[in-house]
Amino acid sequence: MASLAATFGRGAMTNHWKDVKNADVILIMGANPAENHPCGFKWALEARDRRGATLVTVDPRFTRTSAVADRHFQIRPGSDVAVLGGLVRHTLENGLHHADYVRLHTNASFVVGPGYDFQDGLFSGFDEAQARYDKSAWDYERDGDGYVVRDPTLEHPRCVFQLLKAHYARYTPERVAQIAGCTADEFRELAAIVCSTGTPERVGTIMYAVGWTMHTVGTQIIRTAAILQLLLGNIGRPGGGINALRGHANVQGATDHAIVASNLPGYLSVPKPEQPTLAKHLEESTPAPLAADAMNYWGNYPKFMVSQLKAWFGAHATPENDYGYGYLAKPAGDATWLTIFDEARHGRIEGMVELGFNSLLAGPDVPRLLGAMAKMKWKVVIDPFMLDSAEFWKAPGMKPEEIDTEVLYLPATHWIERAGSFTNSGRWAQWKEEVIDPPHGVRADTWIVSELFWRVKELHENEGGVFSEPIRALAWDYADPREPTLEELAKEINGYDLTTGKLLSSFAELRDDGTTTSGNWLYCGSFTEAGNQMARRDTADPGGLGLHPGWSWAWPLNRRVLYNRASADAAGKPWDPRRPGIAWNGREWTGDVPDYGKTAPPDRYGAFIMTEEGVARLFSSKLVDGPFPEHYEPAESCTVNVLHEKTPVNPAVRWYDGVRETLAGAGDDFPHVCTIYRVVEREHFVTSNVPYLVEAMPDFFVEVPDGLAKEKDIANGGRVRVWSKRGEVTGTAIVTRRIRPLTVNGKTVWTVGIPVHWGFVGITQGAMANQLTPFIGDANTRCPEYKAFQVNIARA
Amino acid sequence: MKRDDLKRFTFAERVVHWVVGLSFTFLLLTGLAFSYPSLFWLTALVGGGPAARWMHPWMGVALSVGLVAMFFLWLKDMLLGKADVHWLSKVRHYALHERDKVPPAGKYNAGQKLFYWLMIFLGLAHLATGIPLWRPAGYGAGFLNAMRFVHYLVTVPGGLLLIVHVYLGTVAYPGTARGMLYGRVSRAWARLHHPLWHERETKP
Amino acid sequence: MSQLAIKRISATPDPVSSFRTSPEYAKLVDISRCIGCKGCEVACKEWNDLKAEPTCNFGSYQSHEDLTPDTWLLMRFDEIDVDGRLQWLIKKDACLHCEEPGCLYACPSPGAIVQYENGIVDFNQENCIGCQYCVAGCPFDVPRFDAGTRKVYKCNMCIDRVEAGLEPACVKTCPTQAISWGSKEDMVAFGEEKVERLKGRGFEHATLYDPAGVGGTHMMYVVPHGDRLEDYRLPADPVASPGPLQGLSVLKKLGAYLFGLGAVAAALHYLGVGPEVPDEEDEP
Repeated sequence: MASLAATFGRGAMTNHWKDVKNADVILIMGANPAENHPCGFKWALEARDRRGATLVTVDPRFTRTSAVADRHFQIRPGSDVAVLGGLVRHTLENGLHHADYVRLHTNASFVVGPGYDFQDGLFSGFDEAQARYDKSAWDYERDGDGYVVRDPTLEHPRCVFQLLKAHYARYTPERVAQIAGCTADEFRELAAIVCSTGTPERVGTIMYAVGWTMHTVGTQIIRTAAILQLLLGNIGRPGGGINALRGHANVQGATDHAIVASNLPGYLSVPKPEQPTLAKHLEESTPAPLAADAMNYWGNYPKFMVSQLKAWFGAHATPENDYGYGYLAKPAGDATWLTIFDEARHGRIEGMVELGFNSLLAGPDVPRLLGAMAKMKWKVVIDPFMLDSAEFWKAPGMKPEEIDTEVLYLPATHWIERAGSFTNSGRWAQWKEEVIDPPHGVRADTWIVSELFWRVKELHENEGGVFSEPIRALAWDYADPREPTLEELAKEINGYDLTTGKLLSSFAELRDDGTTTSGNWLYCGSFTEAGNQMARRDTADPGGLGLHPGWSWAWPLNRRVLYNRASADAAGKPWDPRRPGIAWNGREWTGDVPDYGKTAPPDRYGAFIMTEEGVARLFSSKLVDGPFPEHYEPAESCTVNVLHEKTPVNPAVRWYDGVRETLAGAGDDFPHVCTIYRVVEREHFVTSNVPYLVEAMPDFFVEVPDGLAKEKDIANGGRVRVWSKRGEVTGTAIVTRRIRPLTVNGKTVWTVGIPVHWGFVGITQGAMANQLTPFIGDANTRCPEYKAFQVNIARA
Repeated sequence: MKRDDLKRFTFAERVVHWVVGLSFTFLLLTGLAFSYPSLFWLTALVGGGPAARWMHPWMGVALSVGLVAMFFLWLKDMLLGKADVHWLSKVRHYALHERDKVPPAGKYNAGQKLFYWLMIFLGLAHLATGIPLWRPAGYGAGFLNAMRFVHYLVTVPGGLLLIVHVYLGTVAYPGTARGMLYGRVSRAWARLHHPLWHERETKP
Repeated sequence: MSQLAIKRISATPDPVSSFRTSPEYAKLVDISRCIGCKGCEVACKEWNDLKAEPTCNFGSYQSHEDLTPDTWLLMRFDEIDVDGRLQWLIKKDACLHCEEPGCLYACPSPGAIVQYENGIVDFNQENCIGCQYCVAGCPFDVPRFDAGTRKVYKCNMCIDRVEAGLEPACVKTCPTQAISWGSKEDMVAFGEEKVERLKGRGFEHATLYDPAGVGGTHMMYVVPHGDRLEDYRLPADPVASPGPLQGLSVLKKLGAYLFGLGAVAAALHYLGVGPEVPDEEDEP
């Protein structure tokens, strides 16, 4: 999501599930929605069948999605930036971009300072010792008012448009083919389909998921797609967008509520050690506009932050104590997934609470994880089912007598056993009801966490402790303070006007003077005096575009398509009147809830109200690994980087101790590319406990291309062993023609596929796919590189 | 049982006869039940439809085994000759009890011999068509329909022969059943029905 | 037995008259929209309380190698080439509920198979004798014999749901609306519309599978590659009719007369000629 925020200002699916039906071209890449999002995927089929849309999949495998697509293109895992960069080049070289859109709604005309440069795979500002970029090297050129210099003709040699063109000029079809392993003609065929939507009459959408994020260049893959969609004028328009498909029912909700380590709820920033006061934090976290017409909505950051502190600390949050800002932790390092387990491996983490999380199976490099877990003194696992993670000490190969970790397992309710809200990929927060009663004695996680809080608080009160104030000051004002209800929590997240005591109905009402509260400003308006907006069930669809404004509630402020101001031209007229997002009628905007001032004239602000530029960023200095995406090979790769041999891998990734040694080197024999994924019959690991689903997909398997199987004498249905430098797995071979051999940089490359759903706990047991995966992650998010690594294979 | 009765059937012969007889009766009744919805109730006599269907082929096995034994046991006595053709031409007199016009029969008259051969043939036909019907999965519908047709077709003469056989062996010719029950028949019965055999048996 | 209007009952003379009438339903499976998620397979098991079987991966995404007495619906996966391009054929395999039900015609047990006016062909296991003639009589090889219970089982189109005005569980659960439910007439029209759309997308051989040889079916398929029916494991020309068994039923009537005649002849013989008792006094 980091990449979408870096491009558009918000990190979420731009459109929503049902909107996919409005598309003319649907590119599915880095995702397999038929497999992982079967319910939402029907809208892609609706577009295909009712609009005659073209459905294209680009994937290392011919998937269940490919089975119903018009065309499938096979590429090598980890070559996505090359392919998408090639599409960017194809668009620009052939003038297929939506020129008016690009000029109006992107920073194409912004002039970049002379400090920017790109040589040998490195952008300017790289500090080799720290493996970090100094992003000031990528600054825009400013005028006297501090605003960016713009060239509406797009001809300035340092304007973003020209830099973009120059950057991707290298990504010719032949070069793309050389990297991705397809043929140049196949790539041209793909380009002809995908780049056909750069006109007002046509719209294309892109659907992606963790097939893009789980790479060392994951964020930049998505950025490349975002750039492509901006060039084609597809952002903000019904049927367009770049749509992040979230894996579980509530991943978007979890992300909104700070599952990412560097965020507080609502994408506010975690305070840093060098920000000792609230004033300093607000100053550094509140962006200044870079264009005169930028609404720069993040300029309201202080209101969001202060209201959040008021929600947390209540009466204890006063102007005098910085609203309790001093109570917040200000971590020096990052607390991403990989770092946590790296710390644990070094014995620097005493214990861990895992709530709804099977970390052993979910993380990369299981042997390393097992070592890290065994170093902890204690571990608490809160989950509806007994998990592999709770029983890590009896994983295959472990010696329980040598492990001192004390594991506590607390059975908790499953989401089907309780009410609450799910926020889907399209940002719709939908209230759900309890379907079945929990088993006797099983408590909701709200009770468990609340009870944990009270017992810790009581210990502090009775026995004292270090830094007790935040715990004592925490507001816990619920009808039953030992177990808050979900409605109470939802109201707290929405926020109150403390002057009137009433629920707020919009984040526009938030103040930075301590008179409002809001646990998460994005959800302000979700639970108002008019009731629980998330529980609304009006199916009406005025306009027929699938907006359903009366069904549940979408953040922000029930907008269904983000950046919908960009669906209209300079005068506020929709690019395509048959598929209007919003339209200016001379007095106000009609259609969807405008992502813009309701009565602000079309020329008042830039269309992207969340960016300092007021427009979307083709060039963005928000990411740590470059203003333009560049193709880097996976940390473990079957080829040199043909674009720049000196810089094969993303230079900004973090290398944890001892990880380089676990990656295949020049002397190792791991010739085949491997990728891991999920299957529709299973939902991660929880369904290992559901008999019908285990029956539907019983055993761990390995998908082996038939040519490779012949070479290695592997029989369909027979046993096969796959090993990487980190571990090995054995399972049933599915010999298939759905994976073809590729020709990468002149060499034949085979791809092997492995599903993730098995462990040593559950109705059927099977190998853990993450025995094989490398302990390295994306430069921005640290999301591990599960999707591309090297293995060897043999008949078992 | 009089001491001077004649020994007609050995223990083994009687066992084989009753294996064949009872299994054939069972098969006929359950077969009729499967063939005529109005007679489906007959399956209740053996425990209901599924039980009847389960036992029917196994009874067929019993019948087949019995017939094979019977074939070897009686083959020697069942060979047909010219005399038998002659006997058959006078069968009308036999039925009307006009003894003087019936050529004298040996241990078995020509009707009995024919019955023997027909039973062997019909048994084989039932077996051949019954095997695919036993576990029909995998055979084509057309083939099985043909099998069902033939299976039923051979049941008709089989059933009719059974009626005749039982009628003659019981009420029509009193004294006959004794032979198959106890193995012995009266001299008078032997003289009446199988004079040549009687003569041979009573020869000093 | 259900309260639905009955059309035919196995081993029972036709037609069954009924004062009830009901619409003829049909299920339409659009193979071009099916993603093989097996949601229908699981929903079928859940609704019908079928037991989860201990399967094992045999080198396919397919859960079972074949239908079983406890798996009435199976998603089949086949990789084939069409015009040099790989296709992954994913097909929902279950009872097609023929208008001319070969299983019912073959069934010797009264009431074990019932065809309703609404098109559903249902097996009543309490009347099933386990002869498996239905298995052979089915041109689609659908019914499955359970050696444990000695009964035959297959999809009943969730007749209890249909009777209550609901669609079958597989239809309800399909996430991509690849399965539709409605009157036979509507589904044929909808299917033809889908076929036209497929032809527009370049599937020139697209067809609606509603084979005339079995009088049409109440589960129809929209088949993208209609010229490759065998690759979908769909017989090109399935046939079922009471015809082939007509000979047998004539023979049975004849047989009944003959048996009667035999019995009567014996009785008349007894009355007319009487028994022939050996003369014991004749003893020398």
